[in-house]
Amino acid sequence: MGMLELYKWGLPNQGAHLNRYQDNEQLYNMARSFWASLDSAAIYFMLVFIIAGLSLACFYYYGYNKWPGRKYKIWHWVMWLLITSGVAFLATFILGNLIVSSNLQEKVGFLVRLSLINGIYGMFVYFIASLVICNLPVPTNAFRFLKFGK
Amino acid sequence: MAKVFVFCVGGTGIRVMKSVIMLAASGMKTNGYDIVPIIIDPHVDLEENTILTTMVGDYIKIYKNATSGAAQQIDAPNGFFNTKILRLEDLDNQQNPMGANMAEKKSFGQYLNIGSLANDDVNNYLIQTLYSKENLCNSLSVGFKGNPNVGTVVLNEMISGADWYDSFQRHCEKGDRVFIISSIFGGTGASGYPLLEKKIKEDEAHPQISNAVLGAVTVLPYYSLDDPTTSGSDIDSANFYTKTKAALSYYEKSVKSDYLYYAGEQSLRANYKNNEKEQKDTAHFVELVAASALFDFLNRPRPDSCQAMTRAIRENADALDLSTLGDGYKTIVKNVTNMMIFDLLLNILPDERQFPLQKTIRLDKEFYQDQPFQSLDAFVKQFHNWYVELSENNRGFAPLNRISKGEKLTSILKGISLKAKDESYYLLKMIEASHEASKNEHGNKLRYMLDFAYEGITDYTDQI
Repeated sequence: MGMLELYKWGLPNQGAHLNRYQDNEQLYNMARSFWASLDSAAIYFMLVFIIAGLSLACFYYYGYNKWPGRKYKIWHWVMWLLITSGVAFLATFILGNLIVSSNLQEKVGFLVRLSLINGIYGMFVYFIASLVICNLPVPTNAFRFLKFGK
Repeated sequence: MAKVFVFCVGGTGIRVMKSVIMLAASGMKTNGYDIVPIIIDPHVDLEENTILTTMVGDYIKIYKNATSGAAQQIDAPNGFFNTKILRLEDLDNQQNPMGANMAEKKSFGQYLNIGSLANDDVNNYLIQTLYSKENLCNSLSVGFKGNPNVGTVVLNEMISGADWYDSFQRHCEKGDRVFIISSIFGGTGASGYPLLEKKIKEDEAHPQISNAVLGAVTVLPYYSLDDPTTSGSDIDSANFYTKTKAALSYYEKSVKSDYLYYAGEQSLRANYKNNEKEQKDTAHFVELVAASALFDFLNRPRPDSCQAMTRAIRENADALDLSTLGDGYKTIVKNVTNMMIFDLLLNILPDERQFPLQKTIRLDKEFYQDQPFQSLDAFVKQFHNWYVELSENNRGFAPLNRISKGEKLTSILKGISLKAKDESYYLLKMIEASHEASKNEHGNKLRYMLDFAYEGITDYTDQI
């Protein structure tokens, strides 16, 4: 268990989950391989929320705010925060389905949970990136409401 | 910095000067000349005189606010309020206005001291031949009521002993220019211009004055007044053309300005109340044209001989826009448009929440409540009213459409579609312009606002 630790709080307990299939060796093996597959894919899931959070924060501050229409208003920032969450969710779900191979019935439920967690992490990265950008002496057309001090 | 001394003679001179100040505020360039307005009007109680004096003071205040840095003086702005305006009393470091003693509270008869003449004195007969009874009874404190024959006598003496003329002599330096604004159909302007010009050209004791490039604009009749038989006024606009012809025939041989601009109308389209005490006349297109003559003059070299200049419009329309005005008016239209858009932005900015410049250069609530912004806002509102007067007068200078709330700003200018659809386009350009501010850290918030707004607005209006 490595990177998957990051998602542990939102997923069912691995031991309890495996115990459910103790009576059926085939399912038990499938579940074990599913967990192993999740663990090996965890690094990609992490990359998804980091990339989504960073890229969309950068886009908000340096791309989106180049368009007219008062994009500097905080509600636009909030909108992109939610978009980041949505993008991280969708990307994780699609990626999960592509790289986690398992016929286990719970696969979809697990991936949805993982994707939701990634959505939250994506928002967190977006927030941290915004905090950094607001305090950097780099020009942006956005309102630096996360800037410390005057 | 070279100066241009602008003599505003009479009521029309005052009104044209108002347009000069408005154009200067909108960013019209004077080729580096500072403007020194000198008001010559015996009618000191005239409200327009007070309004102009206040307006000059307001402009100077804004210019000072925009050019004072934290540590040192900042260069003049590139756009709005680009031209420095100085009062004669500022040049002398005085507090009191120089023209204050111009008024004569007595009548013309008392001024000539005709009471001391015996009834059968030949001089008395001469005076009665030259002047009507009304001329002699008129109080000089309300001007010369369209009588240049009175004006020539009084003004000549007024100029000779005036503090302002002494001050002008002291401060006019080599390279400075002189410009005289007057009307030809009234009393003060029609008589004041040739007198003043003669005085300047013959001031051999001060070669920097007699050799200065001299320009003048004389305004031909452009408005009529209510019938004097019903208004009880002494001024009859039916005589304007006769007076003009007489004055022109005199000017033809006597005036020697390097550039003499004529601004006028084909007919007396506008009609004003016949009240010489108030003369509350709204701004008129002809005054704007006359004002533009000063800017044209300042961009021309000294001519080899006297040049008579005039300006036409492309089409004879009641309300003039860019297409009916003609290409020659593009600069004026562009500058007026810039200022009107600036007015729009000034209405929005104090309530614009989360505007990035609140954080970056502190254009915050405190700034909008401070005197520098309040002065600027009040001045720009005056500009707005001035434009409305111009557009509603007959003939109207109306190149802009009235934009109601929610309407697209692309159609603000008649005949041209600007790319900026709403005010957010200009606000965005202001923000982008502010990124360059780090290169010029003077810390003057008002100046930042003026510069960024001008840059932001002209980014779109440069297509005019």
